[in-house]
Amino acid sequence: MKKFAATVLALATALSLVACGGGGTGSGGDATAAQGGTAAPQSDAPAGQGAEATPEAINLKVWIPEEEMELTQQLCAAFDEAHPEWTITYDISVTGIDESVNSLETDPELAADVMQVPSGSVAQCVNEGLLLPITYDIDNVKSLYGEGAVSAVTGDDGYIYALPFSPNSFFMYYNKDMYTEDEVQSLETMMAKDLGDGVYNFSCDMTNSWYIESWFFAAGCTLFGENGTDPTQCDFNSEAGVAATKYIIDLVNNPKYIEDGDGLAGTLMKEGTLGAMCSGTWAMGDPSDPTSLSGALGDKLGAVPLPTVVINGKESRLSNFADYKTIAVKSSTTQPLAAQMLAEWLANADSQLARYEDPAVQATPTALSLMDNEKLANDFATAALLAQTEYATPQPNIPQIANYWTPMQTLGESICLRNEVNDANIQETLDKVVSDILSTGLTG
Amino acid sequence: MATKKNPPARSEKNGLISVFRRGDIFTRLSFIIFGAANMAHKQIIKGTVYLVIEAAYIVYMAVGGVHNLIMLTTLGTRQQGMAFNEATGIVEMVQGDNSMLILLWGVVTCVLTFAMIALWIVQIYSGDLARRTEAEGKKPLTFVQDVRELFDSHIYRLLLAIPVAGLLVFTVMPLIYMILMAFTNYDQTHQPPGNLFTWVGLENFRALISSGADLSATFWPVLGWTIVWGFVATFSCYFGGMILAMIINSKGIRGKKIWRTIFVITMAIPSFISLLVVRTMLGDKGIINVLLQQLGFTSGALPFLTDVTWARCTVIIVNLWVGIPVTMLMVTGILMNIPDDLYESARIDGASPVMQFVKITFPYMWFITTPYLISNLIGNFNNFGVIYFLTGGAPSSLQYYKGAGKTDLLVTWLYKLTRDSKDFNLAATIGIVIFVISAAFSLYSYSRSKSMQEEESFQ
Amino acid sequence: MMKKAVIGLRQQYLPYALGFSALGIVGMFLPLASVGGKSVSVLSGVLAAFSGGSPFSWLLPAAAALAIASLALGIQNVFRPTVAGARIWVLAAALNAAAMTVLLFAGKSVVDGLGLLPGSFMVRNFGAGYWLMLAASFILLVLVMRAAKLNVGYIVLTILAIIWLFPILWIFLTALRKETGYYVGYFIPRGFTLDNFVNLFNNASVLPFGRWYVNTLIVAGCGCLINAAIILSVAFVLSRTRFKGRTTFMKILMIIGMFPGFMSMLAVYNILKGLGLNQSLLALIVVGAAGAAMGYHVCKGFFDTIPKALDEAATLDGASRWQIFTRITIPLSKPIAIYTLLTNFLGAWSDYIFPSMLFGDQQSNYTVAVGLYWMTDFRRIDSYYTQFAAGALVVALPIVILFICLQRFYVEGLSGSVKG
Repeated sequence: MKKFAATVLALATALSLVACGGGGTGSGGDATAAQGGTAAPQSDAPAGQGAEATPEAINLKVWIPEEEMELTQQLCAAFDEAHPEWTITYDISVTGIDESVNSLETDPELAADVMQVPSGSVAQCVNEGLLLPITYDIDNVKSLYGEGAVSAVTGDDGYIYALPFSPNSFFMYYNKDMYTEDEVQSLETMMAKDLGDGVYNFSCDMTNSWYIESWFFAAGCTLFGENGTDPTQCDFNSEAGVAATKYIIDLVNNPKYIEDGDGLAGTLMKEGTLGAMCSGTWAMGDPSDPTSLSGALGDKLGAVPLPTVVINGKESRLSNFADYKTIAVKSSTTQPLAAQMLAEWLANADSQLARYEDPAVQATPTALSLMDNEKLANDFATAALLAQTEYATPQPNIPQIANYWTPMQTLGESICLRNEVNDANIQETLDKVVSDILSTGLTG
Repeated sequence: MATKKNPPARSEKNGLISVFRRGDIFTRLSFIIFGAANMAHKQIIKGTVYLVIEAAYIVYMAVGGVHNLIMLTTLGTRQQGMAFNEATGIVEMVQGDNSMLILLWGVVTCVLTFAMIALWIVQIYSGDLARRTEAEGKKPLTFVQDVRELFDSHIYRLLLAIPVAGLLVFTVMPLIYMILMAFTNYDQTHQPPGNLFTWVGLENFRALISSGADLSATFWPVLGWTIVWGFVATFSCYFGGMILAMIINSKGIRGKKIWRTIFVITMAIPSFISLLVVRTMLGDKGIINVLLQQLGFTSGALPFLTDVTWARCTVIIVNLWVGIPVTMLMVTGILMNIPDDLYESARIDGASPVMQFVKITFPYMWFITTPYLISNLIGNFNNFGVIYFLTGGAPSSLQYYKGAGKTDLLVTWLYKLTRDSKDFNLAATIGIVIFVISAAFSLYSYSRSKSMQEEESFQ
Repeated sequence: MMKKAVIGLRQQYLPYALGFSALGIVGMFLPLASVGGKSVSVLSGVLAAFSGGSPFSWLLPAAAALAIASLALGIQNVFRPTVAGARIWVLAAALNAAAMTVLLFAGKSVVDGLGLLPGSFMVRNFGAGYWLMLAASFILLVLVMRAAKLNVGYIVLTILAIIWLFPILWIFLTALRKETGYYVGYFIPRGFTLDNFVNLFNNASVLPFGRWYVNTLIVAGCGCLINAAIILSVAFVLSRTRFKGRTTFMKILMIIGMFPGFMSMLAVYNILKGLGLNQSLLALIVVGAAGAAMGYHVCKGFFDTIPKALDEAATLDGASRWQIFTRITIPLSKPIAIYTLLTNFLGAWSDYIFPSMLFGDQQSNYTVAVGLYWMTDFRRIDSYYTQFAAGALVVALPIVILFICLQRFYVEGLSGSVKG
C-alpha cells in the first residue's frame, strides 16, 4: 500500500485514455478504410447524371458568416432540388471567413466540408494539405471568373483550390462636398487642395501591410517575381522602392494626412473633418443607420478606385493586393464530389447575384457574366471596388507570403509612428525589410 | 494519530531483487500478475483493483498502445497524396499519416507506460508488506482501514490524487509533447496533415547556435527586456499592493470595505477588456491624448505606445493598474495574520511606523510570499496577456528578426514565430532554452529562500 | 497660546498649519498665469470671474474663498482649539485642495474663458501664485489632518481611487454613449442611451450574449469552487503534513508551468478530444481544475502562519487530519479562501485565448470573453464598441457582487480568532 492515490490516478488515466489512443493513431490506419468506404458509394452515383439510382443519404457541414445564414439555407435547398441523387442533411453553422482557417487548422476532422476562406490564406492551407483541389467540371467553372480571380486561387501545382465569389479589396471613399470627381483621380491634386482648418485631406493605414504595398506596386516593384511565384525574389529595395518609400514619408509627414487605424478615419469622415479615406465595402454600413458611414454622409459619400501618384516622375495608379473571398472544400471531407459540387453551386453566378441582392450581405460578385448588370454599375461602392480590382496586383499565392506581413508592417510603423526612416538609412532599412521577407527560417 | 506502520528495519535490504528473493511464491507472482500477493494475504479488494488496472493497461496496449509506440519511431511514413477517381471524375485526397497526432499519442502512451511501471513497483511493495505483516502474526490492513488512513495519515494521497492526475494529463503530457517538437523538423514546410515531419535530433539546437547575427540580435535584447520587465512588474505590483493594503488596513481609515471594493472593481473587468480599452485610450487620438491637449497640458499627442521608452514605461504603469488590486487583496489576507503582540511590543519600544514596517511587517510578508513572488516573477516573464493585448509587442523594430517588437517578451515573440511562420520546431527550441533558464533560476532562488529553509519558524 | 491640551488633537501641528494657510493667501497676490510676457494675478482672476466666463470660472473665487475661510478657521483653532473646529478646518482645507486640483485641469478653460490673456493657455503657463497655492493647500491639508488625528491615508486613497476609476468611468461613459464609434474626440458623450445594454441581450441571432453569459456563469461558478477546493487541499497537504517527496513535488509544481502555454494548446485540445470533451463547457472546467494546483503558493504561505499547536491539540483530542483540515484550518483561513475563490472566479471571465480555440464553430458554447473579443474585430469594432463597453460592465457586475457579499467574511484575521 505504498501509493494508493497513485494507483487510483493511474487507473483513471489509463481507462480514460484507452479511447483516445485508438482514435488517435486511427488517423493513419482508419484513413484507408474511410477512403474505401466513400469511394464505393460514389461509384454508384456517378457525377450527378445517374438520377435513376436511389438517393444516397449524405451529410454536409457548411461554415458561413452570420449574415449569410438565411441566404445559404435557401441556396442549399435549391441545390437539393437540382440534385435528386442525394438526400443531404445540412449542418450549417456560423464561422466567419476570418475564423475558418484557424478552426480548420485546429481540428480538420470537425471542420466543415464547405467553408469560406480569404484567398490570401489559400496557399497556406494548401501547403498544410487542408484543401481539396476543385476538379469537377473545372473548365466551365474557370470560365466564370476573370483571370486575376482564378490566379488568386490556383496552387503552384496548377489545381484550383478555392472558388472566388467576391473581391475583397479597399478603394477610396471621398466626401463629394470637398472633392470633385476629377480631383480624386490624383493624390497630388487632392493633397494640394486646401479644405480648411482642422480638416484632413486624405487618410490611409500605412501601418497595415495590406495597404502600404500599393505605393510599391505603383512604383513598379514586384513581390516574389513577376508572377508572384518565386520565393527568392522581392525588389522593394530597388530604386523604385526607395522612391516609393520617400513618397510615403513625405505623405505621412504632410499635416493634411492622417494615419488611419481602428476606425479613426471613418469617424473623421462622419464628422466631416476628412476628405478621403481608403477602405472597403465593409465600411459602408447600413444607409438607414445615421451612425454608419453611408448613413451619416448620404449623398455626399462617393467612392472611386485609388488615385494616381507621381513617383520618380512617372504617374501611375496605386495598386493594392487583389484579394478575394472564396469558397473551399476541406481535404478530409468524406463526400468530395458532393462537397465540391455544393461549393461550385454556392459560388456560381446566380448565387453571387443572390448574395449581392441580399441586403444583409451585399457582397460584390466576381462572375464575368454579372459585370454588365445595371444595378451593379449604379452602385458606386461596388463599381469602385470592381474598377479597383482591375488596377490591383494579384496577391502572391505561395506560402512565403506569410513572411511578408510583419516586416512591412514594421516598415510602416517606423515611418508613420517614429519617423525613423530618413534619406540616410532608407536603403539600409529596405534591404533589411526585403531580407526578412525572403528569409526562410533557421533550418531552411 | 491512530495507527503508524512500522517501517522496515534499515539494515534489511529493500531493493526489488531482495524483495523477490525473500518473498513467497505470491510475492514473486506479483512481479507478473498485479495484486497477486495482496490477494493471497487477505487484501482481496486492493489486489483486485491492481489486477483490473493491469488488465486495462494490457487491453489498451493491444488495442492501440503498441501501435502508437511503433509509429512514434518514424512519426508516420505515408504522405498525403492525390488520386484521380475515375468513377466520379474528380481528384480526391488520399489521407496520409498525421505526424502531429502520432507524436501526441506516442507521448500519451509513454506516460501511461511510466505510470504503469510506477504502479508495478508500488504493488510489489504493497504485497510484500502484507506478507510480512501476516508473517509477524498481525492482520494486514483491511480495505476499510486503508480508506480510513486516507483521511488521516495518508491524507496527502487523498488530496493530491486529483490535482496530480490533472497535472499529468493536461500539463505534463503537453509539456513532453512540446519538448519533443524541438527535436523534429516541424516547420513551415512540414505542416501536417499535408506533410510529414520527422526526427532530426539536435539539428535545431545546432541551427539556433550557428544562426547568424539576425537571431541573436533579437534574442538577447528581447531576453534583456523580458528580465527587466519581469522584475519591475513583479516588485512594483508587490510593493504597491502591499502599501495600498496597509493604508486601507491602518487604524483610523473608515469604510475599509468600500475602499477595497473600489479597487476590486478594476479586477472585476476582465483584464483583456480593460487592456484593450486602455490601449485605445492611450492612442494618438485616444481620450487621454485628447484630454491632455484640450486641457492644455501638451500641445501634441504623447507617443504612449509608439515610442520605445514611452511604450515600455506605459506597459509597466498599466500593469500596475491591473496588478496592484490583486496583490492588495492577497496581502490584506496575510496582514491580518500578523500577531498583534509583535506590534504592541514594538510600540512599547518606541518604534516608528516606518520601523515597524521594516522590522515586522516586511520580513513577515517577505517570508510568507517568497514562493509566490518567485512564481509571480516567472509568470511575468511569461506574461502573454498584458503585452499581447496592450501593445502586441509594438513598437516593432526593423533591427529585430522578422519585426519582433521592442516590448515583446520572449513568450510573445515565440507566439509571433509560430503564428507567422509556423516554425514550431524553432519555437520549441527557444522555448526549451527559456524553460531551462527560468527553471534553474527559480529552483536556485527557491531553495535559497528563507521560507523554504525555515518553513516552520512562524508556526 | 496653547494653554491646555485638548483630547483628540495634536496641537503641535496647528501653528504650522496656520503658517501654510497664510502662505496660500500670499499666493493670491502672485501671478496666476502668464502668456507671452503678459501675466495676471490670482486676485484679478477672481474679480474677472464675477463678470462671466466659462462654467469653470467660479472655481477661482471658490478656491480663494476657501483659502480665506481656511485661514480664519486656522486662527480660530490656534487660539481656541476644539475637536469640532479642527474637523471643520479639515473640511475647508480639503475642499480648498480639491478646488486647486480641479483648477489644474480646468485652468485652460478658466483662463481662456475669462479672456484675461492673449493667445492659447497651456498648463505650463501657470505662474508662481498658482503653484504656491496648490502646494500650500496640500501641505495644509496634511498638517490639519494630523492635528485632528485623522489618517492622512485618506488623501492617498482618494487620489489613487480617482486614478483607478478613471478608465472604468470611461468604459461606463462609453457604454452609455449614444453615438457609436471607436475613437471620439470628447470625454462626455453627446447623447446618453441604455440601448447598448438592451441590444447586447436582444440580438440573439447574431450575438447570443445572454447565452454566453450563462455559460460563463456556469464555468466560473463550478470552476471557482473546484479550483479553490484543489488549491486549498494542495496547500494544506504541503503546509501541514510531511511526507516523502514533498519538497520535490513542490519544485516540480513550480517549474512545470514555465513552458509557454500557448504552444501546448493544440495538444491539450487533442487530449480533450480523445476524452470526448472537446468543444464543451466541461472542458474549460476540467482544464482549469487540472492546472489549479500550481497556484497553491499564497494559500500555503498563509497556512504556514497558523500555529502548529492548534493541530497538535486537535490530534490529542482524537481528530483526524481530515477533520483538522475541514474544522480548523479552513475556518481560520477565510481571507485567503475568499481571495482564492475570487481570483478563480475571475479567470473564467477573462480567459480568452484557450476558449477561442476550444469551441470552434460551437457558438452556443462561447464564453463572454470569446464573444466580446469577437466584437473587437476591425470590421466590427466601429459599430460594436459601445456594446463592447456595455458588455464589460455586465461582466464586472457578478464579480463585484460576489466580492461585496464575501467581504463580510474577509475581515476577521487569524490573530483575533486564535486568541478569542
